Amino acid sequence: MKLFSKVLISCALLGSLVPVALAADNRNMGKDIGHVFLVSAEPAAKAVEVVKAAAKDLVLKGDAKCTVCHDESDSPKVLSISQTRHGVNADGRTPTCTSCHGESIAHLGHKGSSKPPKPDHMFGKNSATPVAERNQACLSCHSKDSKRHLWTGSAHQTNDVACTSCHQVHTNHDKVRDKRTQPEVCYTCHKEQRAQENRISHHPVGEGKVACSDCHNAHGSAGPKLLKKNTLNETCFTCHAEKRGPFLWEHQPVSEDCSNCHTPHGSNISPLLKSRAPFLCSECHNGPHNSKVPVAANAAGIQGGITATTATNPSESYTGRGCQNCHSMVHGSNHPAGALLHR
Amino acid sequence: MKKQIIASIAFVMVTGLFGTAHAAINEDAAKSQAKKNDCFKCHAVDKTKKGPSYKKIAIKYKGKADAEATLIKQITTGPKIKMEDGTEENHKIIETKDQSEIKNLVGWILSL
Repeated sequence: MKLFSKVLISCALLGSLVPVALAADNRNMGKDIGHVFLVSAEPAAKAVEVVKAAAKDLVLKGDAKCTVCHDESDSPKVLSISQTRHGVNADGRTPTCTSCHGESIAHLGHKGSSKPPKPDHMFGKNSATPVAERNQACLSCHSKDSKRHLWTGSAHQTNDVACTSCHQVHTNHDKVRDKRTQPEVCYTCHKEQRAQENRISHHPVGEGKVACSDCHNAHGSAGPKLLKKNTLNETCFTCHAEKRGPFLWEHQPVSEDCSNCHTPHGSNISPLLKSRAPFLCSECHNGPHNSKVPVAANAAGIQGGITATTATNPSESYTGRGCQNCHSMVHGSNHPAGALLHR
Repeated sequence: MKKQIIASIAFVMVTGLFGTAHAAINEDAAKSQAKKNDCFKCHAVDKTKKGPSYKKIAIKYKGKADAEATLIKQITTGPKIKMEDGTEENHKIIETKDQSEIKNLVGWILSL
């Protein structure tokens, strides 16, 4: 019992020490500490040295006024610009911070404990800088090359899309410039195309072999839907050259517009078809299958492989289920007897 | 046996008290707090910017009893300070009012 009392007394003593220590801390808070970081004891020359040392550019020419605060300890991502083409100092065209963000006098001159005003041009999602102004920072250099000179008036420009909506400048991996990650950037807005690309028949976009920019020029084009070429067919023929022709026997809708039959982003009917044969074909070929009028001089005879002895009017439900079983050269034929696109 | 149990309980109570008084520093939370309050605009861990490096501050206050209280006052009252380049301005006041967060931040600085 004696031991118990001793232990209790010890606890009480130790417990009382903690508040005493805390109280001591609180008393210390009353001291004047305005001198804490004073460096006035240092010679003036040393202060000048410090200023000079701090004024060194970290990445870009003349970036010291920004990187004195925004250095690797504050925002390392900002300095990643050194790993991009915008950080190549040997190139005379390389901009500096203020080339894009503006001179930002108010931001640079700010003193005190309040939040400094924002730089003149900010490019984040919630930036107050108008999109046109933001884009002008990029276009001041990037408007003259052939890929971007049609930006003005393009669908993206007229819909107030900013360059930085898709591009990241302060990173060595700009997602939209990487074939594998680019589609995810485009799908952020183009959600319908994301769904279509997940259908059974699709261009190998998800597989990383085709990117949106293989067909589209997001910076503006003379073609429809921001296609890289002037027409849809011209764009498709870039890869599908065997469909280009010229053919001895053309299938007119093919030469006119691939999208008469195909949908570009994905379909559950292979190969990227808008509808299934024979319904797709019968959208145009809605007459009797055994037309008596030959399509050409060397195409006389009853169609469908049915001779007069079996039938003069072959059943459409019999012969029309798989049009391409016979009309295999649906994109056009160069065979002298290929008028019906059989061979 | 009874005595041993009582002694063990007392030991746990005592160590518990000390444990509360010297809680472990959460470095990530401290850095996050510093980042959130733009501390790194003027300070770095081991580099002199507009303000002294945190390591320099830690060395300055090493072994001083009032170190924590001094730094807490510095970041909560915003006194006028002279910066490394000789200019003067008010120190930024930390946004959080949570004493445990403030103590954690100061504790981290002093631990460097």
